[in-house]
Amino acid sequence: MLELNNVALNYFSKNGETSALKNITFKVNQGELVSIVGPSGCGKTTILSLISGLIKPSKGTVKINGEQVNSNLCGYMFQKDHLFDWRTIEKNVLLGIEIQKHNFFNENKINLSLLKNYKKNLKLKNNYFLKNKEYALSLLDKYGLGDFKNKYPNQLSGGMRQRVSLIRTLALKPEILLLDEPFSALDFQTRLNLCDDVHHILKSENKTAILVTHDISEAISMSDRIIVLSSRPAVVKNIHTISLSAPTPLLRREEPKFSSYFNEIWKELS
Amino acid sequence: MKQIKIKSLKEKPNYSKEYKNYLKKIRINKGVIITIQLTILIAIFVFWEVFAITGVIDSFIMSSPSKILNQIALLFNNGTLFYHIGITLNEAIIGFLIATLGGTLIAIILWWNKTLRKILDPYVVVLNSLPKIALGPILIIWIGAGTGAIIAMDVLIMIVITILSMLNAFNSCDESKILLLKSMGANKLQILCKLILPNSLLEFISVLKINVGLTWVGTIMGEYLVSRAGLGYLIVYGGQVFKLDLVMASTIILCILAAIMYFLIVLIEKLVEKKRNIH
Repeated sequence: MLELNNVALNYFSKNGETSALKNITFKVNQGELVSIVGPSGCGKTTILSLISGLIKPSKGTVKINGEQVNSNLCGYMFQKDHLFDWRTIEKNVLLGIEIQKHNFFNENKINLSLLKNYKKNLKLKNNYFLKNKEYALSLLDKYGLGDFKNKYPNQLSGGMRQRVSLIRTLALKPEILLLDEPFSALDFQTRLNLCDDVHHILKSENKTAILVTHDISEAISMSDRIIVLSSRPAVVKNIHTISLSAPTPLLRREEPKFSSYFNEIWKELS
Repeated sequence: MKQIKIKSLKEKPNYSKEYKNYLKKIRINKGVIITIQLTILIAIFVFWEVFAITGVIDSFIMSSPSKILNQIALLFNNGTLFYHIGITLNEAIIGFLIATLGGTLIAIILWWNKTLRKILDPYVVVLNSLPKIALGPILIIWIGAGTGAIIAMDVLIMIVITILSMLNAFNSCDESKILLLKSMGANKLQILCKLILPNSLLEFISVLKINVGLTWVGTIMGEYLVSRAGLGYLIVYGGQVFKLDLVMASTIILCILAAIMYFLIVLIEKLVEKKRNIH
């Protein structure tokens, strides 16, 4: 599904050239949730930017389903929810669809100069919008936010806002979800609950996701595999396959194997 | 899936007695402030009038409320009151619109093009610190002694601060919000329309508030330099022929106009806040 092959990245700045990533190689399968952990500043977020195609690698290739990446295949979820205060929850969730609606003609290479086809194409575009809008609103309903769709972000709690931002990302039907420390701005209680919610949503939508986090126990409780990075220039130190059987992150934390995973990764990081 | 319920914001009251008292206290406090404000205003005019009548102050130099009212009535009767108000108001509003909209447009262009922004930066800074009144003679020679020069002076006073404030607002937008839109495939125009502009709306309103004050400064300054009519002209003329009644009357009309325009902007601000659900 996702394949990084020998990826390296060098940063340029006035003070010189820094090598951020070196020889990064890993694969992620369809429906898998993979976490990336590593010392702070090692380039975890940089890997996400590479996968999303926002920056290009200096060396190596990043491929999704065998093709070069472009931004429409990936959905981002950030540390802050970045909901727009001036839009209702519904309008926030529809943001991405609105943007892609305007790019509809370009993407589908429809020739606008054929005026006789204009009406037909316009209809096509509106249908596309309505269909996606319906899907986005059904997600809101499905995950218990339907009653809040006419509220504004400042009327919702932090955990709910993060769930809205996840649904905003899912509404675009991305191939891969990139979660950049999405829980770290929340208090502990909310965080544990939200981990459960996000895990539930990702698994029931069968989404492939990459989670960047500095919290080892969060990584173990959420993911199928964990990639451990070294400090800069980052290389892949180890890849752990997590085999915990409990269905939710909260329950997985109680399994006896949880702490042995924790100790193992902890040692690798220090 | 856990459901977190939040309390509806419009829950209908079964308020406790303490809460009702609390609301009452707030209302009384507000009433007291307004009463005092009105009292001060009335007191100023009453004392002014009484002192003028009893001769404590010289009403030739200080004028008096009754003389000011007479002067306004005189202007009204010979039909020139609304003529002068109209001219000044016209200049103030046109200048305000040109500077606010033009300044915002220039700020958008500078936001769009980083290189252009860096190139123009020193020019904008110098223009900002330059006292615009110094350009008065140049404006008169270039544009001609008339309404054009007055509006140009007015625009000059507002436009640089508008550009700087709006550009600052545009650039203070959270980088990761831009990243979010980019990851959704947004182009630069979409980033501008969906994020940068709505995100800067509150700053835009504070620019409106600043400009609504500055536009009167600019217009009156312009009229001092060059004019044959308008409130600024009346003030200058009144000063020259020592008709303090005329100076005071024009000044008070100016106060009222400026206040009305300011409150219109505040009204717009309230509407925006209501629409955006800001409390």
